[in-house]
Amino acid sequence: MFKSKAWGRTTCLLFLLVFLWGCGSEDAEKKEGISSFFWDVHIERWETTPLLKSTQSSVQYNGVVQTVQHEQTPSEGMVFLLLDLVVEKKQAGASVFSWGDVFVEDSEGHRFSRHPNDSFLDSSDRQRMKGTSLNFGKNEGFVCFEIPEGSAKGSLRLVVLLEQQEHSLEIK
Amino acid sequence: MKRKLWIAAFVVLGIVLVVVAGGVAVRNGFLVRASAFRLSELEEVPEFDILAWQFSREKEILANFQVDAHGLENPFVVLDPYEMNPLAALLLFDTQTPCSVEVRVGGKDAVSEISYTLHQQLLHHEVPVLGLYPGKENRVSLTAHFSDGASQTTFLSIATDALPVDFQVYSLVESQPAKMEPGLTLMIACFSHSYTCLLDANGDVRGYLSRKDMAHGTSIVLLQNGRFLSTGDEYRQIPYNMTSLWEWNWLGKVFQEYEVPHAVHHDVNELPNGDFLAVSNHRDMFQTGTREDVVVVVDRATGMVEKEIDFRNILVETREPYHHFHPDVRNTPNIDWMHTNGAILDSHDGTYIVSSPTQSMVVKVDPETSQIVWILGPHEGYDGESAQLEPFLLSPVGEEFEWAWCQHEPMIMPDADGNPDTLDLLLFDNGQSRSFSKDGAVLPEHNYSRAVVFRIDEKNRTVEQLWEYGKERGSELYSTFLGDADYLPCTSNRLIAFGGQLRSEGKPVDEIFSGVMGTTVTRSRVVEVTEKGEVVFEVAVQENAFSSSAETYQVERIPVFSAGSFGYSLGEVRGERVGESKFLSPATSVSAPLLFRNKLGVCFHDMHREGDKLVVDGAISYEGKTYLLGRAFLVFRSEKNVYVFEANTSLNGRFFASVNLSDFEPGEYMISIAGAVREGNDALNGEMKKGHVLSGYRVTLGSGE
Repeated sequence: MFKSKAWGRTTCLLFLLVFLWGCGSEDAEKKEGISSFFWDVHIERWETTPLLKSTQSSVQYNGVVQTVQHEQTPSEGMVFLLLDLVVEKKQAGASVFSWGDVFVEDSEGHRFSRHPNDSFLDSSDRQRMKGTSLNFGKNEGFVCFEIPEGSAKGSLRLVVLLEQQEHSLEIK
Repeated sequence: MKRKLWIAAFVVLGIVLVVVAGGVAVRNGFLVRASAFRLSELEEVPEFDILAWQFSREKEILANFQVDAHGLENPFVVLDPYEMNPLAALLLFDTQTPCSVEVRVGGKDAVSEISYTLHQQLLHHEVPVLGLYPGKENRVSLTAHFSDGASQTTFLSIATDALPVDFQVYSLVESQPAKMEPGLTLMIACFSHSYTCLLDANGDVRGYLSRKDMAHGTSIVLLQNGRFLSTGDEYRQIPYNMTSLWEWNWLGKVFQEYEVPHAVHHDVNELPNGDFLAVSNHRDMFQTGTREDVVVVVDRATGMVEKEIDFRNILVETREPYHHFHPDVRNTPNIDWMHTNGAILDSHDGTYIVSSPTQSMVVKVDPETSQIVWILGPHEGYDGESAQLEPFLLSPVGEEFEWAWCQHEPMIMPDADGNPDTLDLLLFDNGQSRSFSKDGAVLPEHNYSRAVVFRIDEKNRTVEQLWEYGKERGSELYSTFLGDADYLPCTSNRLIAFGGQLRSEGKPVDEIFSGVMGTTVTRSRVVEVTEKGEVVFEVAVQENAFSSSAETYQVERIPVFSAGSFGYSLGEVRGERVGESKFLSPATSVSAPLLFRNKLGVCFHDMHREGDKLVVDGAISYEGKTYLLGRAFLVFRSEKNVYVFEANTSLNGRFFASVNLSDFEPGEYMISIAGAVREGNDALNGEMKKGHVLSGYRVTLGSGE
């Protein structure tokens, strides 16, 4: 009798723990982000890679699918840092989200700008965020930075200048 | 012993029951049931109507503009407002007193500066900026001209994104701007991989269409109202047969969508009354067994097809000249015997001049009676049933004369001799094989393409060659397929697209199919020549690391700005849709499969809803491999209902569908694809491999369940 009660308590406790753990993990999934008066920015996911392989398929004149393989590599000693971003304007107004005001900062304070032409992302099955200034709406997609291999091993931050104020977000 | 027998009997009974239950379950569709779990795993088909989206975008722009005050000195700048041309911007601002606005986009040099004026004297300004360079901070000036003669100028910098890495490569070979026809050069792509773009006199890109589904393999027409017409975003069959035409401007605003159930391919032209003359198909092209052999007139106001000229009743579909247009498919269910690539009006007598490259024939017909007036083309192959056409053949005169073979783009030249009985016709003569039969075929390394002007004496039924360009360039410019030749009215120059130069290891070849497969490189060359043959502009188009295709289907010289296409205010003009949708009919010969068989693969280039219309553009494969021949069916299954439609199938697994969802009972439907591919190249024979897979999409209709 005692034993079964203990088992019952243990089972309830385990259930409660699992339940609470489940609740906790939901909280943990909430995305941290940058928020200014006009803009919300958050990172959906990120990755570093020394190589982007792409297979580009296109449909030709008579319906035939043409497939071309392509590899995109960063400069020597660098890796690609790919950020899947959501940039949303939450307040109407003239404020513009400019990529010239967006950087990735490594643990030593070195800053890196967005790759000048990361349109190769489109052909690597990643939807690319357009490279021009954003005026409005919810904008989603990948952007690419080239950073040193050493920087990629340490902590990284996304730095954004919005309404003349610097905001930053740890990339984790 | 008895016990063992009983056990055996029970086992057998059990197996029988399981088999029967399984059979009943399969027959009742249990294994492909649209269960709540299955439906929850599927993505709802997204709603997208370009006309509605553009209108809401305009309101979004205005909402952002209206928050702050924007004058000439601080306009509200929106780059690529309709997400169609990344090298165009819209500037919004207000002025205290009415003014017109002059726009100047700085160029590399004087000839590449772009300027134009919006003449209306207004207080609120919505100014298009066209002709920006890619990947640059563009210098733009705006000058306000007031009615009292005063003016005020402000300078802006507009940054643009770089060209996509898979953009085809343009190399300037020759440019003499003083001798060139004014305007920008519109380079129209053919394959969905390439981009349609605008080039300036330096060969620099100054605008492009980022949407690769529209305006590929078909013409783009500058309309009398200053807007442009091209094909839109909905396919009927092989991906240049489109059921939608869009009327748009270079900001990307779509003013009108015309739905043409017959589908439009290759050429469209505007008639003097504003209607469209287009090369097309029989409305029931999948039942007739042929395609691309009908010319239609589309009523501009209603979008309805008001006239059809069916060339199966005019020419002879069994005449078979030697050419390289089609892949070797035996027993093809949909024969492209004519491949009509152009139709124009001869306004002198109201007849149509129609080009068939596979027949190496340009034919003039009376649209009211369907009577042939004349046939321009080589005289071979008019025997048997085709002998009835022989009386219409024009006879060549003059010493310097050569027929055109597999030609493109007939264009009537201005009257040069004042003789009402003659007609001067400009053509792009691809020259493919230059023979009716394989025996006499000219090899590609010895062949050439050219633009040629023929003078047709309709009274004496003769044809004379007046002018040509391209033969002297030999195989360098030989272009097996695609191409264009335009007369330019200001300079009398001719703009020529040597559009589809197939090259293998640098040498010309004729294998169109391997070109479209991407195993053979396709390059192109655009040349502007004077009447005397002096080259004043030449651009070479070449492949890049991402694509072996650098074709130019057609070329046009156009003004960068046409006021008529910008006379609207944001949020006031919603694009309209006219015409008639062509929906699939429910399949009668095939029932919905009762099992999933996952060797079939399916991917979608497009799957969206425009209200009650479902638009699908997909491709099937089998065990990861693409097959030349196949068929695809769409299966819609809810808890209570099942609908099956056979898609319009193209080559290499590609299929298209427009489904009328308003015919469905309300409910939540999972969409699956049943398909079959066939080994080999014989549409009737060869092993069939079948499959049935979930599409990954569901569609919810009415009140749902």
